[in-house]
Amino acid sequence: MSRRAFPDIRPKGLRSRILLWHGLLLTAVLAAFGFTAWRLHWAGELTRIDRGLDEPLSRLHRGLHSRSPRSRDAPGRSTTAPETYDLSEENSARFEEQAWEYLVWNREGRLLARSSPMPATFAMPAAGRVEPFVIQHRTRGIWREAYLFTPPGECFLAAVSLETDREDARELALWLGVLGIGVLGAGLLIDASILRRAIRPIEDIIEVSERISEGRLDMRIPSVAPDDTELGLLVSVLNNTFARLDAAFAQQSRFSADVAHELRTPVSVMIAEAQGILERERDPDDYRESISTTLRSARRMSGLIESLLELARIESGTVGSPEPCDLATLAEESLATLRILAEQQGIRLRHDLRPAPCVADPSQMLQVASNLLANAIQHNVRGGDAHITTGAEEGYSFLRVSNSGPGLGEEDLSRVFERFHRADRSRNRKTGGAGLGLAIVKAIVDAHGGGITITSDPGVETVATVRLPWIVVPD
Amino acid sequence: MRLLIVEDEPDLLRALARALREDGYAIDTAEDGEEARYKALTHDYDAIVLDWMLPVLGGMDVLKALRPHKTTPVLMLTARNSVAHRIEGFDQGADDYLGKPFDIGELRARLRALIRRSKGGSHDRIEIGDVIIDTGAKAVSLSGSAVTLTAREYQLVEYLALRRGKVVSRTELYEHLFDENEDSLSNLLDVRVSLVRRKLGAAFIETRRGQGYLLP
Repeated sequence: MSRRAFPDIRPKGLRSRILLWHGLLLTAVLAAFGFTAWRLHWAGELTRIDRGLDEPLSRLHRGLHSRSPRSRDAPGRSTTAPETYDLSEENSARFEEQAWEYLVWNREGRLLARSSPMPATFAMPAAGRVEPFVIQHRTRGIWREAYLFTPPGECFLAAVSLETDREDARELALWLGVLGIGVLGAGLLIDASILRRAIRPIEDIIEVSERISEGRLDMRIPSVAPDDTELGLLVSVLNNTFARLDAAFAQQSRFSADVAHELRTPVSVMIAEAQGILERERDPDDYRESISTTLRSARRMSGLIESLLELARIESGTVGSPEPCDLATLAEESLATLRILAEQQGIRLRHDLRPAPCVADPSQMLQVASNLLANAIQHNVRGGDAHITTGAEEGYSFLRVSNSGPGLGEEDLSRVFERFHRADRSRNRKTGGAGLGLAIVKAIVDAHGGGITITSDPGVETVATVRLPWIVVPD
Repeated sequence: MRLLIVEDEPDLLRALARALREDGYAIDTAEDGEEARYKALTHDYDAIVLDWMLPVLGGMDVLKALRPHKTTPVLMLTARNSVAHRIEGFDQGADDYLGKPFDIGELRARLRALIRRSKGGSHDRIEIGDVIIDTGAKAVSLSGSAVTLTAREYQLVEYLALRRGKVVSRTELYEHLFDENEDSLSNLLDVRVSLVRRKLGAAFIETRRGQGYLLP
C-alpha cells in the first residue's frame, strides 16, 4: 500500500547510474563474445575430431571387404552376411595407437565386434533414411562417434573419447570467464575514473551555482574545460548570465542609492525649513517665503518621481505605439516649445531639417528631440548657438543637436548617460534637472533599436547624434 | 561662536543659517567646495558643517585640504549616509557625521557637543562666582535667579567662559562672534560687553587695556 514499504534502491546519482548501465552493457558484450569464442572453438574441435574419425571408419570398412572375396569387384554389395568381424593386426595396432574405439553390427543389427572400452549394450544407430556410405556423426556420453551403413545394412562405428577435449574446453571456458571478469573490472575502473573526471566540472558548476544562488553574485565558475567543448560552452554561457545578473543587481542597488540621495535633499530642505519656521512667531513674509521654499522642494521631488516612473516604463521595454513619422516634424515641434527658453537664455536657435522617415512612437521621439535641444540651450554660453539637424542616410534617419557650449570633459562624456550624472551640478541645480534627461533619451533610443552618440570639443562644439534604422522591429 | 556652513542646496543653506543664527551663532556660508576651502583656511571657525556632494570641489577634498592646517571640528551633513560613507568620512578627518534628512535639534546638539569638546570642556555647566552658565539650555543665572540674555550676548559670555582665565583679544572675539558680513571696525563688541556687564555685574568681564577681555 505504502510506497515507502518498497524503498527505491535504484542509484540516484548520474555517475552511479551511468556506471551501472555501462557495467551491464559490458557484461552482456563480454558474455556474448566469450560464449561465441568458446562455441567456435568447440565447433572447430569437433570438426577436427570428426575428420580424424574418417580414417578408422574406412579402415573398419576395408576390413569387411578383405574378408568377403566374392564381392571384391563390388565392394559393399556382398550378398552373404558375414557372421564375424575381426580387426587385422595392422589395424589393431593403429587403433590402439590412436585410441580409436569401434563397433561393428551385421545386417540384422547384431553386434559383431567391439573394442573393449565401448559398452556392448550400445545399440546400432537407427538406419532410418540415412544413405549408405554417408558418414554420420554424433556425440553420445563421453564419445564422439562416426558411423556409416553399407548398402546391405552393416554398420560401422568409430569413436574417440571426448574426455580430454572436454577438459580442454572447460579450461578454455574458465580462462575466458576469468579474462572476462578481469576485463569487466578494469573496464568499470577506467569507466569510473573517466566519469569522475567528466562529472567533476558539473559538480564544480553545481557548487558555484549554489553559492551564487545564496547571494554571492560576484562568484564565477572557474574554467573547467576548453571553450570549444560542450561543458566549456555551458560554463561560459552560465558565467555570462551570472555577470549580467550581477551587473543588473549592482545597477539596481546603485540606482536605489541614487534615488534615495536625490530624494533626501528636497526632504531635508522641507524638514529644516518647516522646523526652523515653527520655532517661533514669524512675520507673514517669513511664512510666505518658507512655504514657497517647501513648495519648490515638493515640486522637485514630484518631477524626480515622474522622471523615474517614465524611465522605468521605457526600460520595461515598451515602445509606446510605433507608427511611421518624420524626425523633421518632431524637431520642428521641439523648436516651437523651446523657443521661449532659448530667448530667456539668449541662445540663437538654428535648424536644417530634411525628411527623416522612421517608425517610432512620436511622443517619445519628441521627448528625445526636446531633451537634447533643452540640454543644448541650458549647457551653453550666453549668446551661443544651438543647432538641430535631421536627415536620412543609407539605412537610417538621424537627428543631430549641436551647440557652441563649454562642452564636456573626457570623464563626463563616458558617464553622460548614467542616471543622476551631472556634468555641472550647480548649473543643473538652477535649471531643476535631476540628471535623468539623457538617461531617458538613451532608454527611448535603445528601445527603438537605434543608437545615440555624444562627442565634444570643449569650448568649440558638442554634438549629440541619434540614429534610427529604417527597418525597426519593435519588441 | 562662528560657524561655516557649506551646502550647495540654496534653500537648505538658508534654512540652516537662519536656524543657527537664531541660536546666536555667527554664520558664514559657502555654496561650493572652492569657496568652502578658502574660507575654512582663512578663518578660525568654531565648527564647520560640510556637505559631501559639492560643485567644483567635493566635501572630502575640502576636508583633505583643511586637515594638515586646521583642527577645526567638522560635522559632515550629507545624504551619503551608508556605513561605508560614514567610515570614509571619519577616516578623512570628520569629527561627526549626520545623514540627511536630519532633525535640526539633533544638529544643534551635535554642534554644541563638538564645540564643547574642542574647547576642552565636557560639562554643560560652567560656574564663575555667582554666575552659572548652562550651555545645554543656553541659560545664565546670577545668584540663583535667571538672567535674560540675547542670543548674541549669551554667545559672548559662553565664549569667554570656555576660555576662562585667559585673555581673549578683540580680534579673536570678532573672529568668533561676528560673521563675514559684519563690520569688525564697528563698536558692536563694546556695546555687547557693556550690555552683559549691566546684567551680570561690572566685574564679571575684566578689561585688559590693549589686550582684550577676560573672565577671572
